Amino acid sequence: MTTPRTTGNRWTGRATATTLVAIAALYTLMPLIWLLFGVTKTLPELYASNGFSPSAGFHVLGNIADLFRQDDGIFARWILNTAVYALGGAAAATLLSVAAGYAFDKFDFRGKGKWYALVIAGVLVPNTAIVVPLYLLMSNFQLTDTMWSVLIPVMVNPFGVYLARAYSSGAIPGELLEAARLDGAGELRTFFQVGLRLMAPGALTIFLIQFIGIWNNFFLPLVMITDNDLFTLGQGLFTWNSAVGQNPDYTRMVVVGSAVATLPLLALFIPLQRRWRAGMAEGSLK
Amino acid sequence: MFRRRSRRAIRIVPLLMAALLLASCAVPGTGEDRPVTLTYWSWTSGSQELADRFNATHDHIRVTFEKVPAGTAGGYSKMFNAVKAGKAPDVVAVEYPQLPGFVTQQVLQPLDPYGVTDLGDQYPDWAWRQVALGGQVYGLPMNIGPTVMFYRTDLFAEYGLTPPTTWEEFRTTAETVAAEHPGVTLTNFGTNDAALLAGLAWQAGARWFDSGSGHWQVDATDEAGARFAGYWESLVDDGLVTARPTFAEQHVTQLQQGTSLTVLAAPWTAANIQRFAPDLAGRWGAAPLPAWPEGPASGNYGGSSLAVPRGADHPEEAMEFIRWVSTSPDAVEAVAQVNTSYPANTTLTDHWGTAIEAANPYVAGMDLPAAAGAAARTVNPAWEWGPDMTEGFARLVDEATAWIGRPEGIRTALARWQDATVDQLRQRGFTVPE
Repeated sequence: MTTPRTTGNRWTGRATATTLVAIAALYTLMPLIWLLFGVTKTLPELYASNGFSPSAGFHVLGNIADLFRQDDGIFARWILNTAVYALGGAAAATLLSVAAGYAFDKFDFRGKGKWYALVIAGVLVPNTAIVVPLYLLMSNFQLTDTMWSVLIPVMVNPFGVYLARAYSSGAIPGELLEAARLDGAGELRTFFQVGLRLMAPGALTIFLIQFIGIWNNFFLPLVMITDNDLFTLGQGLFTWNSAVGQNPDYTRMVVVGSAVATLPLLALFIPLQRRWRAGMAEGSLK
Repeated sequence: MFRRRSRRAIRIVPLLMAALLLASCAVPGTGEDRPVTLTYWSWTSGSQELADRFNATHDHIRVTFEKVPAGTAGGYSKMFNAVKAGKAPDVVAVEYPQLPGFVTQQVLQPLDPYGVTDLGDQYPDWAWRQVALGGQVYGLPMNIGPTVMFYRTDLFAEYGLTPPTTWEEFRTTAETVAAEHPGVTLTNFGTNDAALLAGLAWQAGARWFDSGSGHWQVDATDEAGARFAGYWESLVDDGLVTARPTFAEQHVTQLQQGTSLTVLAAPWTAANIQRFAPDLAGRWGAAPLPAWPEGPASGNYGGSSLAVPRGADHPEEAMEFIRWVSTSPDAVEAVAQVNTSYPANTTLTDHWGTAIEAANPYVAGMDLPAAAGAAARTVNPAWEWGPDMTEGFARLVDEATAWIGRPEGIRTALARWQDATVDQLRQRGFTVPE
């Protein structure tokens, strides 16, 4: 008696879920599809043709060549800068988060609870709110308009510390550390050779979260940096986009540039996706 | 800026080491002729070309151009912040509507000590009044945007039309076009372009701001304003013109397909038309804007000045660059390669005419220099801008987008904008009489 009803429910449930996912997928993919069509177009076509129809010709190569020629080829420089900010910042943030999370999990020290509360408070403060105070701070140290003004703030990620602590408590048995200590390893060596290795999947998660965050970080570099040679991709594209009234051709550059700017993220994500998912799940279970 | 200093500091290290090594040889004065480096913040098209040309022809100053976001998109607040933080660049581009705001916020240096007052008669009177505020000069006009009308010469000839010289004729022409060529309209009234709206009101004799009494008076709904607004409302209501965002998809399609026959704009717009409709080369002409019954008049739509922020490291050298940009044929030539903006300096306009037609085949044959020259001479001199036009324009765009196209839309948009502007100025501590 109950069986048919359950099947029916499951079917409608599945259909609803599928529909919702399909809508979400469409919603997410539409801009990307628009972008892919946009890359093939000339400026007049971008404005006059349907966004989801291809160009009359094929202008991808010409558009990309123009992109890397625009403003003396500064786009390549922006890619490089963004890579430096994202790789450097994410690497440093990961190491710091993992070390701090490990310390919070495995050590007892005075005021631990309060320090940890401070970290959690850091998670709750929106990044945007601290950008202008950071600018004034950097300005005191004569660091505005340098790479450090963007790199230093992104080297710290309280949410990463939180994740790392959770991960550490699940992934590193205390007995293992005892064994390492008994074998005569110092605390630093224990961390780097035992703790860090066991936390690698969690560290990868933190690295990716921070990497995407920095790659898409917009407001911080916008405030800190004026030197065009130090721009990030997002900041550069925004600056171009704001100048379309002066030169509409920047619209084309922004479309093509946005498409090119997504490639490094794809290149990083597709190979790492499986591991990342594993890391996320493990961290959340424990 | 710090980066420059740090580079210099880094350079000093090997220099010091070399100096120690060569201490006995004592080579004198090798570093003394090193040029002064200026930072120049702008977003306007042609800025890089200006810096390049200047650097190629000057030894003692090097100009480093840094592209900032367009003023109202964040460039101006960046300038404000930099000056407040003591990190001012040496030269900034400021559009005319924002100059009063820059002056009241004390972001710019007066340029009078650098001998600019004798340059006054090289610019149209109205343009000079845009930079000479409260008895001091705060910038040198680089380019201006006297309002002109671009029209499709080929389609005008085909349809047997002549460019209208009065707004009355403009309406008759619009009626003819609408009646005889369904789907075609004489022009598009831009709904998202606050500066153009202001330019057209300016041409009609409106005067949105008046600081003559010592206080800011705001009036966007006076007789001239109402006449201009009522005129366009009736054209929109009667379906004689379209009301769409300027240079957005629909408008660009109209232009490309020849279903919108004119563009009310300024000389710099020619470069935009060229980029949106490159296939229409040789089919555009330029004429002065149609006149109101009082006779030919123009407004200004766009253009910018160069100014020196407070706290700039090298104001003297900055002035030398600014003066060169604003007075040298070389500068006009450099910019003519990439855009069609009209120089503010009247001694350069002939040179610009030759340069722009040589550099840009799309513009050659438009008769743009003549139309722009005539327009520049008849811009209404009384117009003033308010003390916060960055916010003022943003609000006007909101109101215009919301209201234009509805009955009495333009008047409603202007009235609402005026009320909000008065409120905002009072909140900021300005005295605004009724």
